[in-house]
Amino acid sequence: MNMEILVAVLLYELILIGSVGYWITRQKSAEGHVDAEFTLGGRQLTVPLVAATLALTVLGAPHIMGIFEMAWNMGATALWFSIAHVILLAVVCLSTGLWVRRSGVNSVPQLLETLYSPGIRMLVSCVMAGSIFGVLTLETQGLAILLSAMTGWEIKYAAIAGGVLGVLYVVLAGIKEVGWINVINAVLMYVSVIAATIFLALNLPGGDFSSVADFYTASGEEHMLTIFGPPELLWTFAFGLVVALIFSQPANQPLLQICMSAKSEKTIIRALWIAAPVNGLFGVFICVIGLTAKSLPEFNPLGPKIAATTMLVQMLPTWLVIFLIGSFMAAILSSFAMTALAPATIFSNDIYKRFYNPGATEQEITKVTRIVIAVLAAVAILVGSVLPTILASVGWVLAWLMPVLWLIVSGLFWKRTSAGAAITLVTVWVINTLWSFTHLPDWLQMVDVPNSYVMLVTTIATGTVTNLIFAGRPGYFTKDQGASVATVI
Amino acid sequence: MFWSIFLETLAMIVGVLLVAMIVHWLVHRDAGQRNEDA
Repeated sequence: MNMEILVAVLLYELILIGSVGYWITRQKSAEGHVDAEFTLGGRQLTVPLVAATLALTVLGAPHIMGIFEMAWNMGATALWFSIAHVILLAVVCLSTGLWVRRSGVNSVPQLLETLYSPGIRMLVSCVMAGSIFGVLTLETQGLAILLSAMTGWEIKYAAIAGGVLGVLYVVLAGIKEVGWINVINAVLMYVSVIAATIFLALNLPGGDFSSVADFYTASGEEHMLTIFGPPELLWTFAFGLVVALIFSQPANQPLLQICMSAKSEKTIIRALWIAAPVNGLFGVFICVIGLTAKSLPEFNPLGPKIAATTMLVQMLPTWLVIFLIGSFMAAILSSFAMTALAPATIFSNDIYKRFYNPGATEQEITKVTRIVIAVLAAVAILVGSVLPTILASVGWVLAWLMPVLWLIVSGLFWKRTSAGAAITLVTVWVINTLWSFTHLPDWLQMVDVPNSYVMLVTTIATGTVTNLIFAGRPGYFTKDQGASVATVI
Repeated sequence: MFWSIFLETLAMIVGVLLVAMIVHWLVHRDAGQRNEDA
C-alpha cells in the first residue's frame, strides 16, 4: 500500500506542476517579452494568486509536523503558531508589502541601496540569501520526513524526490507558475483535510470528537482544548513567537517578492482577507488530528513525532491518504518554491546584475535565476537528507532580519545614515551569534529570555543611538511621498 | 471539541484583521488629512 500511495502522490504533483508550468510558458510565448516576468510575473499577479501564494509560502513543514508535535505537548495553544503567522501576514500586507510595491523595486536589498548605499545592499543580500537558505533546508528536511514517515521510503530518496518536485514547482515559469499551482493546491488542501477530519470523527466512538474531549477532561487537561491555555505558555510561547515573526519576517524577500509581483497595492490588501483565514484555519485541522492521536490508546504509545501520521495512514481509506499526503506535500512544496526563488532572485538581481553584468537582459537574468534555484535546491537536499537539528537554530536564523526591518522603517520614515545602518546590522548580527552559540546568556543569567526579545531590544537601541549620533538624509517617504525608487538597479 | 477550537481560532483571525484594517485606515486618514492641509 505504501508504494501505491507514494507513486500516486508523486504522479499527482508531477502532472499538476508539469501541466501548469507548460500552460504558463505557452501563454508567455504568446504575450512576448515582459519585464521581470520570471521573478515578479511582470507585476501582474491578481488577488487569488497573491492570496494563495502568501498563505502557502508561510505554511510549510512546521505548520504540519510542528503542530502535530506541539498539539501533543501543549494542546490547542499550539494554534498560536498559526495566529502568529496571520498577524505576520496582516503586517506585511498593510505595511512593508505596500511600501515595496509602491517603490517598484525587484528585491529588498535593492530598496536598501536606494535608502542607504551599495555596501549595505551587498551586505544584506548575502545575509538574507543565507538566512532564507536556512529555511529552505528546513523545508527540504520536513518534506523528506513527511514522505518517509507516511510511506516507509528512505529519507535520502524522499529528500531527492521532494527536492526535484520543489524545483519543478518554480523553475518552469517562475512566480506565476507558483501562484497558479498554489491556487489549485490550496483548494486540494482544504478539501482533503476537511474530508480527513470528517472520516476521523466518524470512526471515533459516538461518531464525533466527544470521546477525545472526554479523554482530556478525565485526565485533568481541559486546557488542552482551548487556544487560551496556561498564561505562562501564552507569555513564553505565543507572545515570543509573535515578536520573533513580526519584527523580522516583514522584511524577508519571499513574502515581499509576492507583494512586489501584485498588480497594485489594492490587490495586496484584498488578498489579505483570503490569505489570513486560508493560512490560519489550516492549523485547526492539524491540531485536532494531533489531539485525537494522543487520546487513542493504540496510537498514544507511538509518541508525538509519528502518532498522528501513523493514525492517518491506518484509519483513513487509501484514496484519502493519497489526497492528504498530496496536500501536505503541496503545502511544503509551495514554501520550498518561494524560499528557493527568493535567494535566487537576490543573487541574479543584487549580485549578478548589480555588480557583474549591469547590461544583463531579462533572458539572462531568468537563466541565472533558474541555475541558482537548481544549485540551492541540490545543496538543500544534501544538507536536509542527513537530518541535522536545523529547527533548534530557527530563532537565530529569524533574528538576522530584525535589523533589516529596522533599516527599512527608519530609512523610509525617519532617517537614513549608511554608517549607522552598517553599525546596527553588524552589532545585532554579532550579538545574535554570540547569544546563540556561546555561554553569554548563562553569564548574564538570562537563559530563559528568548533570543528574539534580546535582538529586538538590541536592534531598537543600536538603531536609535546611531540615528541620533550620525548625520544623515531624511526618511525617503517623508521627503518625497510615493516616488519610485526603482531607478537604482 | 472541534467546533470550539475552530471558532476560537476564527474569532482571533477576524479580530487581528479588523484591528489591522482599523489601524491602517486611521494611519491613511491622518496622512490624507496632512496632505490636504499642506
